[in-house]
Formats: sequence, structure tokens, C-alpha cells
Amino acid sequence: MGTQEIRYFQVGSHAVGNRLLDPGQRTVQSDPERANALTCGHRACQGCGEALGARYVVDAALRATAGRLVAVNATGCLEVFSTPYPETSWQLPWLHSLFGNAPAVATGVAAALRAQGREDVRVLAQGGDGGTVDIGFGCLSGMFERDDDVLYVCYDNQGYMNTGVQRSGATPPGARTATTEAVGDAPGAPFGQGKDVPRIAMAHGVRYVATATVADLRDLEAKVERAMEVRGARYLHVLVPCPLGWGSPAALTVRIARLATQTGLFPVYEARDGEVTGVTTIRRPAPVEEYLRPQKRFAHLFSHPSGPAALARIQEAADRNIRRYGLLGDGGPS
Amino acid sequence: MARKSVVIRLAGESGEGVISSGDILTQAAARGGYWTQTFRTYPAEIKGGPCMYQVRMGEDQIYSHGKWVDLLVCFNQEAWDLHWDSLASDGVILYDETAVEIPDEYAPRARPVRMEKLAKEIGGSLRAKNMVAVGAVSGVISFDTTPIEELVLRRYAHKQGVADANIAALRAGGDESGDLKGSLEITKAVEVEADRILLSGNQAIAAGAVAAGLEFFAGYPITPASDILEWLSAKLPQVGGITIQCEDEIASISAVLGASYAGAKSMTATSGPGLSLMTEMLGYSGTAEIPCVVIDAQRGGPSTGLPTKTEQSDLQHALYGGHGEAPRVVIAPITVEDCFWATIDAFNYSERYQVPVILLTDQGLATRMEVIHKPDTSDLELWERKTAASVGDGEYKRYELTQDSISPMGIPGELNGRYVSTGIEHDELGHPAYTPENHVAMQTKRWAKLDPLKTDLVRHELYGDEQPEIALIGFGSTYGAVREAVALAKAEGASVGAFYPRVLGPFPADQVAHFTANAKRIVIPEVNFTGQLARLVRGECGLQVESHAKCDGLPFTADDVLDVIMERVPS
Repeated sequence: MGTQEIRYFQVGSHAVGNRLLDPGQRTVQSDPERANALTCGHRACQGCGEALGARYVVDAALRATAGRLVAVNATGCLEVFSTPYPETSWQLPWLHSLFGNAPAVATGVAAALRAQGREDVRVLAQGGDGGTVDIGFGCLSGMFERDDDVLYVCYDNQGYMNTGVQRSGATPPGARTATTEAVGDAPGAPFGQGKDVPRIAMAHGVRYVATATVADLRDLEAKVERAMEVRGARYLHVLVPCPLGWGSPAALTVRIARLATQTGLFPVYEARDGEVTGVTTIRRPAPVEEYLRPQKRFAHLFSHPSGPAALARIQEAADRNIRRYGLLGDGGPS
Repeated sequence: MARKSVVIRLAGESGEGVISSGDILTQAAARGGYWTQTFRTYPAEIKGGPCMYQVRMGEDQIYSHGKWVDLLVCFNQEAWDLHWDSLASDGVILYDETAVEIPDEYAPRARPVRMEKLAKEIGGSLRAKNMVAVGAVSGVISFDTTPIEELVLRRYAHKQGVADANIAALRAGGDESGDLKGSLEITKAVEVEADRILLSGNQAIAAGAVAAGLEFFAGYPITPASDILEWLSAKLPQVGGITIQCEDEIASISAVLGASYAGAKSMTATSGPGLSLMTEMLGYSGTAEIPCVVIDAQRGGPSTGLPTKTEQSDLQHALYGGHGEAPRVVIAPITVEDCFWATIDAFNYSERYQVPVILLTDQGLATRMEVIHKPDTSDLELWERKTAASVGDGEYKRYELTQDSISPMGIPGELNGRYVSTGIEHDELGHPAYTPENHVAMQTKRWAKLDPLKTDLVRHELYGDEQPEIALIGFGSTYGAVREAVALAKAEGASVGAFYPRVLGPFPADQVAHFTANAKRIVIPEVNFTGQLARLVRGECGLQVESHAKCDGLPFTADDVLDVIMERVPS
């Protein structure tokens, strides 16, 4: 009689799997001592992916540093919804710099800690995609290049949401925003533009680069934990759906984030010293339509004459990711 | 007796229909033939937080949003708590029956409206709350709702069910005003003049730029200037221009200067924090003599400040910001209509004098909706750049010292397009040159070319007495409130007038001296902390002035200014 390997699909979650793990391996959010660093009562919209992602990231970083952590925050939704009195939500030293300079300000904080021999206090910098890929990009590149001891986390909701949903350098092609209206021959954001910052970080030789989404929160926490084991510049890029800007139902935030990965449009991987060292493979492949359809920002792709061609190009991009990162687990980097 | 104008304030939680109610009411009032002006405050948060939308409408042209509220509509308790003290002595209140408790002393002039209940019953969701509220307001002021129904039908042309539900909610709301119905009856508007349009300050600027021949716009989202970028993203390509969204403000103004160097009329728009980032390029623009137009919709500062509130605190930055001394022009439009004309002026000055021109508006003016006469552009005069193609084949000097200090500007690809353009101090040919004589000659030339702007070439605004005893000097968006206050004070016999320099740099010192020749008191109302215009007038004119500065993030009202005037009238 053969033996069958027992598989605990929910290992690490709140449910059954936690009982079977060492306390140190359990999800941070299941830890009664968790920091709740972004505490409840803040003013994010219903279904905000960024609020969810930031809570998991900061709590994980706090546990990894035994509570010795400073957060530097760029201007953006996260800063705006978490700070107004009396709903101020941060439970750690937290510095709002300006829009484009969080990486440089974090560099300064880390340098001061080193100069004062307090290197046990670690530095986390965070911003949205606008503050990261656009206005803050120069400072971010400098921080990478100097290998400053900062973990920079980009919460990517693919646009400037708190100023009224304008395009950013991370807005995907075809998406409608206030500055890429669904008008003209090629409605929505143009193809062939935008920045892939995780790969740009890898090109800097950054020690630890990872991508994650709010669909796999244990993976997100684990990546923060691994990032905090490393000294020097680190970069984490988290896809966080935005119901307001994407025109998606608030209840579908996690599902849409999962579809982004299952279609191949958002590859989830880890890289060390510029080389991909691990990918999260796609468990249930899905065509890009399944991801795009619930989002009103893509609605014109399903009615405009140019829609089919645009959908085909988006599918091509997804297929390219699947090949490049071996997302179907059939070769490629693993 | 019917009123000539009413002030309506809608207040509640951002996201529950306050802003949309105000917008509907404003558009309907404009279509119904009334003059209107609006003012709104909203939180900087994405959703939630207290917001307020004030609409003033009347049969005569309206210059300010009004201080005392005739009709207060409270969507929640906080709205009452925040706004009850703005009620006029005979002001009335409509409130959501489930959400608000009104103190007994106000009960006689307050009526509950079943906003949630009716919205759910008729519209099937809370979304129709705004229509119930607008209906109730229309009832109180006896406003014929036909234009509202037309707007609804147009907006939901393809969704008959939604349109019907909205109209039913509107009519049901009308009955909710109960015995207050008609209590604030507004005089019937005269025949609608065909040439009236409803615009915000930002829209007027974007339209003015297109009228002036804008070919290239680059910008970066920032409250409260983003609508200019959004509007031009959609519209400028339709008239053959190009709009790009850059990665930050430094890139925006740099792209603008690149485009201008290559011969296109170019503009960017931002707010204070963005202007800070652009400052180095303003100096470059002034020194390399490359024209550009920069819109600064000021917001509360300093630093990130009050992103959704109004302030006039970038004046000194606009005039002097940056290292060294590079020339620039600063214009402050005074009304929504003037935003249109001032933008055209900005391009004219910029192109003719080859300088950066900064146009200072503020959150109040940028987001204010105002009914204006449609600008008549049939006699529009556009000043074009002095180019080098006409110079001929001889020796071309990009920075030639000329009679009027304006040098012909070469355009790459055209005759005489080959020269060195640089922000390093340069000689007439553009070659870097550091001699004392050259630096003096070039600084003199760069500043002297702006001298005509100190003359009658520029239209400033004067309201009231030409040489009053009580002289008010202001700039920008405060004009409407000050104008109304001056009219009221004159009606009481005061010798009073207001002077509004539309160009603040170069400063019209002679015109101010003329205006203040008989003044016993010179008062400077402005929305900032340190009294920047007062300091400017003292410095430029050597006058003793009284600063009346406030920085609460809110615009002046006519009543505020009237108090300031009447306190100074000799008894």
C-alpha cells in the first residue's frame, strides 16, 4: 500500500494550518502580539487594497524587527487616509516626507541611525505607484545605487487615486483614467509606456526584490520577513486593487488581485542580487478578459471597435510574462 | 416679497450627494436664467469627511458667494453643528429627518425631509438622496424644476428608468418642504441670454489657453489644478495640440521650455508645492529668455499644507522665488471670466517679452462655478514672438541688445535656428561670457524689456471711487467680495474704492500712487498669514498701509470686507 503525502493547503492561515506550525512561522496577523500598526478606524474606502496590504507589511516588518522600526511615507492615498485626526491610525514612529522624496528621507534616517550606533532600529519607506515610479523615481534609484539600508515598499494601485484618478507610469495600457479618457481611436492609457520598477530595481543589483499582491497575504508577510533579514537596499512591489479608481466592486478586491496573478498580468516573484530566485506559479490559468471585465476602467475594451485588438495585445503581454518568469511551472526560473 | 438672490448651503458627509446636489442646482439655476456663483469646501481625504457646497443665485450678476445662509440643508448632524451659526437671521433649514436633531429654538423654521426614505422608496437606493434634497430646495425657493428635469433626461438619455426615478424623487422632494414652500421665493429670472455660460476658473483658463493658441501642455496631477490637465488631455488633441502627463513638476516645466524653445506656445499648471519644484526652471526661462506660461492655483500652505482649501500665499514665491534675479511676469485674474482673458494676456506677455509668466489663481477661484457672458473673441489680439527668420542671412545674435531689449528668437529648423541657448550668463551670441560689463548689460536688458508692462498697456481693475479716502488694494480672487462691499459702503456714503492690479510683477507703482493720492486709510485684504501684498505695496510705493490678512483657508465674504471698511469710516 502506497503512502500519500498529506498536504495542508491552509498552512499559515488563521485556520487549521496554524495549529501545526511553530509559533514563529504562523502568520503575523494570527499572532495575539501583532502590532496593529495601521489600526482600525482609518478612512480608506471600502475594499481598499492598499489599506489591507500596508497593515500586513508594516505588522510583519514590526515583528521582524521586534518593534524597532521607523516608517517614512510618501504623499498619497495611504498617507491621506491614515492620518486625519481623530482617525490617525499609525502605531509606530511615522514620518510623512513629501511626494517625491521618501527614499531619500529614509536614506537620511538610516544614515543617522548608523552614525549613532542604533542600527537595531530599521527603516521602512513606503509610497504609492505615483510616488514611486514617477515623481520619486530619481530618489529611489539613488537609494538603490547607494545600497542604503531601507526596505522600500510600493503599493501599486496603478494611478493617482487621491487626486482624482489620473494616469501614472504604472497605469496599465487600455485603462481609462481622468487623463487617459476612453475617447479617440485608441481609448484609455496608451500601449508601450510605463515602467516595470521591480525589474529596474533588479537592474540596480538590489539585494532583495519581490512582488506580491493582497490575494496572498501570507506570501506578502513572508517576503517582508525575508527582506528584513537582509541589510542594504530592498524593494517590494505590492499590487493593491483600488475599487474607486478601477471601478471594481469593493467585495472583489482580493479576487481581482488574484486574477491579476492567475492571468499572468502581474507576475509574483522574488529576486536576489538581480536574479529571479523564485516565482509563484499560476494554479488556475485565466484569460485576461476574466481579470479586465469586472473593472469599469476597462469597460470600453468590451464595447469599442478597437477593443478586440487591445484585448489581444493585453493577452500577449500576459503570455510574455508567463514565458519570461515560467509562471506555469514549466521551466524558466524557479 | 420675492428675493432678488438667495444663498443656499448644502452640507454633509463627502460622498453622500452634497457635491452632486450643488452641481445639479447650479447648472439648473444657470439654465433657468439666474446668475450664480458657488463655493465649496471638501476634505483632502478620498472619501468621507465634512463637505459643503454653497450656491448663490439671483437675477442680477453675482460677484461673491455670500456670507449669511438663507437656506441650510443638513444631510447629517455634523452639518448642523458646523453651519448653524452661518444662518441668516431669517434663514430656514431643511434636514434629513433620520439624521439630524434641531434645537427647539430653531424648530419653527426647520423642516425635516425624508431624504433616505424617499430615495429608497422611489429611487430604489440612497443615490437619489441628492434629487430629494434638490427638490426640497426648489420648493422653498419656488424654483421651477423644468431645467433640472431636462438635465436629468439628458444625463440618463439611455436609461429611462433611472431618469424617471430621479425625476420622481425630485418631485417628491418638492412636497417635502411643507409649509416652508415658497418661503424664500426668488424673483423669476428674465429671459435667458443666449451668450451665458457656466464655467469654473480652471475651465476658463484651459479655454483661454486654447483661444490664445496653446500648442503644448505638460502637467502633473495636483489639487486644485488637476482639472486643467484633465480637460486639456481630452480637448487639446482635438485642436491639433499635444498634452502630456509628466512624472513630476520639474519634468513638466522642463518639457514646456523644450517645446517653447522649439517654437510652440506652451503651458503647465500646478499648485504651490509644484511651483516650488519648478522654481529653478523659472530662473532658467528668464535667463535663457524662453517664453512659458505657468498656472499656479494656490492652495493653503506651507508644505503639503491645506490641499483643498484656499490661500493667497504664493505671491512672493511667484514674484521672487529662485536664486539670482531673473525677470518674470505675475498676473492675478480676479473673476472666472478674467481667468479666460488673463490667460490670453499671459501668453501675449510671455511671447512678446520672452519671459515666464505666472498666473496666480487659488482654490476658491479655480473650483468656483460662475455664470459669465461667453467671451467674445472676434477682436482677439494675439501677440506673437519676434522670431529670427526675418533677420536674414547676416550675423544672427540671439541675445542682441536692441532698442526695446527684445531679441529675435531663432527656432531650430528655421533660418537662424542655430545658436547656443543657455542659462549661463552669455553674450549677444549666446556664448558664455562672465565679464562685468556683459553681466550688467544682459541683466539690464532682461529687466528693461518688461518696462512697458508698467504702463497703460496693462488693464488693471478699479471699482468705486477713483481716489477714495478709504483705499482698498487687493489681488486675485478676493475681488468679488471686495467689489460688493465697496458698493454697499458707497451706498452708505463712504468715500471708498478698490484697486486690483491684474499684473503684480512688474508692480504698477504709479497707478497705485495715483489711486491712493487722497487716501486717509489704505487697507489690504488678502488671504495669507504675513500680509504679502501689504509688504509689496509698502516696498514698491513707500506707502503706510494696513494689512488685513487672514489665513483660515476660506475666502473673504462681502460682509467681512464691509466691516473692515465701515470701521474706518470717520464718524
